[in-house]
Amino acid sequence: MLLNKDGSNSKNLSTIIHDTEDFTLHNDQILPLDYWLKNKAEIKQKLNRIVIWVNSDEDLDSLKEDLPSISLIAFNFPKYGDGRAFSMAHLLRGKYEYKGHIRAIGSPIADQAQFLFRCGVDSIDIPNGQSLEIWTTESKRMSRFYQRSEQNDLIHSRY
Amino acid sequence: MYKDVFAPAAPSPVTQNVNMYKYDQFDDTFIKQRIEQFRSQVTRRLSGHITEDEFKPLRLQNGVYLQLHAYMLRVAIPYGQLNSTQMRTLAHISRKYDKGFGHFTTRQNIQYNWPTLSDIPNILDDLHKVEMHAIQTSGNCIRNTTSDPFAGVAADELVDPRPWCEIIRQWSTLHPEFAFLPRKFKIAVNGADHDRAAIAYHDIGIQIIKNDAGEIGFQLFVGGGQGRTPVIAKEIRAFLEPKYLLSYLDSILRTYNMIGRRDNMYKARIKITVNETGIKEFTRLVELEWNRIKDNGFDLPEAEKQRIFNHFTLPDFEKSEYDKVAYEQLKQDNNGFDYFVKHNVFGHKEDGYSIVSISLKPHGGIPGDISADQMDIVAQLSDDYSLSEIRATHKQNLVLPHVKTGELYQLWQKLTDANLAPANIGLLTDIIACPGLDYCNLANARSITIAQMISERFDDLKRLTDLGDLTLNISGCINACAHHHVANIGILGVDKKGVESYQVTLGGSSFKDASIGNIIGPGFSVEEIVDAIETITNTYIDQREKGENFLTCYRRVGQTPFKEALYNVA
Repeated sequence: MLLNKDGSNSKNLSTIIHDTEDFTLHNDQILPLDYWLKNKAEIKQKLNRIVIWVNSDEDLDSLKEDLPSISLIAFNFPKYGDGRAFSMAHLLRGKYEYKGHIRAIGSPIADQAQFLFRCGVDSIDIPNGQSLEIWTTESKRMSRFYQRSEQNDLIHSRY
Repeated sequence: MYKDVFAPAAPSPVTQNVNMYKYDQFDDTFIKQRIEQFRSQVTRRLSGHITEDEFKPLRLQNGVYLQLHAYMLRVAIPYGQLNSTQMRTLAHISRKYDKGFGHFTTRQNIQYNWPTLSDIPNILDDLHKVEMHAIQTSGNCIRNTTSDPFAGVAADELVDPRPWCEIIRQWSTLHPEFAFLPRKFKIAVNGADHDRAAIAYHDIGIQIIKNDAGEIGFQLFVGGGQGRTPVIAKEIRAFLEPKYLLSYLDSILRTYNMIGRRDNMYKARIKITVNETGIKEFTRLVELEWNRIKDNGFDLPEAEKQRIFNHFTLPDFEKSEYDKVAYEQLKQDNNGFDYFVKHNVFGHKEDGYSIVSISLKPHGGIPGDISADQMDIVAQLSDDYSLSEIRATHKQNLVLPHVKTGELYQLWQKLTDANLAPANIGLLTDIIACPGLDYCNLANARSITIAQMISERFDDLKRLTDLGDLTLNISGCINACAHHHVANIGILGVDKKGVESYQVTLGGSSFKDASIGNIIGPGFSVEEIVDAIETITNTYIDQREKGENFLTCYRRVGQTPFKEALYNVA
């Protein structure tokens, strides 16, 4: 299940591809970054939407020139404590001026939902077995923010 | 636009004159929502919806540790400033939810060692009523910003660092990007010539300076720290215009968040990042990021800065005159008072006023511990003598910042009655100690017991005064919570095949002349350690030249005479 920035939720129709050894390329797959980098031409030709996922230790610079043609970038949380995805989302929006969709996948926790949205993430792939209700509540927990963030909500911020 | 929503809350009668940050509706709502979040997290844990493992990151972000015997709650005291109402609430909490005492920490916070988990949300409610919280007092996030306990009043101060600390507190509170850093992150700000905030040992140390043109700015240091690998912070920027503080901090934090190591928790602090990357390259990366984001709205608008600054206007001090001859006579007639003035009283900006340190290091006591009754007494004394204001220090003591010099004697008598007048500030028995094996599940050895033994052996003010300025810190494990590396005499408890052993370092300093102590030789047993300390102080007395304090003497003569005396090698 996906939790979206506006509080709505939707079904996740994409499959996250981890193993590219033995697989057939088709739409509705989220492809690993290194597979995309090695097979750009083929992917561009076969798919009408380019959707990739990036691990927290991978370099955003490698995506730079192709960003306009990528529809969705998913940041993986190998574990919830690895907070690089927050800065990566910020950088993708602010530094790389990415206009497409950003998703969080892997193992984030509900209490990170609002932080993720404030850093520029559009949707979160809720880990299996977790309560959508808790995720939804936590994603709207705070209505006041002390600092500027990538997705700044002036009405609820000091500045 | 904000006027309706963010109207200021009515000030409480006791505290309205204290020059400190006061919550408005915005802050009030913020804290309330954060408590509700924590309450729901606790409910999830108590009902078994989440495991202790899943609960851990949630409780840590709110200052709740699982210690050896029970949960421990660490309450934030931003940059160490408190008013009397807040102190009374801390006393109330210790009576109602704990065992009638609290423990002041080296981050100017207070800890309670015995609350039950189900009570903690209620404790947070009580704290909220007096504008306090426990947000980010633990976890891999930006911790309580610390500062000079004499901030705003010290005679040698250039600029009051408190408004800047408050700006950093607000910016770092639930910062969406920096709540899951590689490791904890500590910032300190100092605004005086003398460094009373130990900025060299912080992840970011900020020294407020004046440049040649007379403009105020920040000298920024990065990558200092204690723990297993003590490191002195390196300069990352010689002068930063104040208006860029937050964008510069954002840039340092973002760079660290991206490149800091996450493969090994012992190498995850920014000090390791800076050492492995090199300060030159690290600075280049930060400046690159900063040049991208500065002037892009990430800094504080002038009006918001002014709003925060307005809270810290010093009070209009009543004129304070006193009979100087009678005051000198009192000191002459009363040895105890004379020692108290000598060691615990410091110069105030305002004529006729003094800053008074209350030592929480009594004879045989636990450093930093204070009973609920003593907290109430300190609150009352601050109402009667110090414009209702109190400070907590990183040396685990308290401060009454605005005392009329003519009332010092009276105050001293009342402090003495409450066992709050040890005249040992800055002396050997002003020991910093961590909880050690008595409370902490990381510890290898007891710290408190050693502190008590030392304070008993050296319980003589004449002798302590003769030994002069001397810092002695005791950590119960290599994590160095009591900063033993930076003490003139540092004691580190280790576990040697199941037996407590104490390793001694000499020559550390946390002041402007920061240095890391050197290990003097093999460790000592519990039975030997106090004798060893006495051998060290005796060696200092033998070796010192006129006017030399311990550190200066040690730096001149080196390790050899101390080694010879300690290990009987000639």
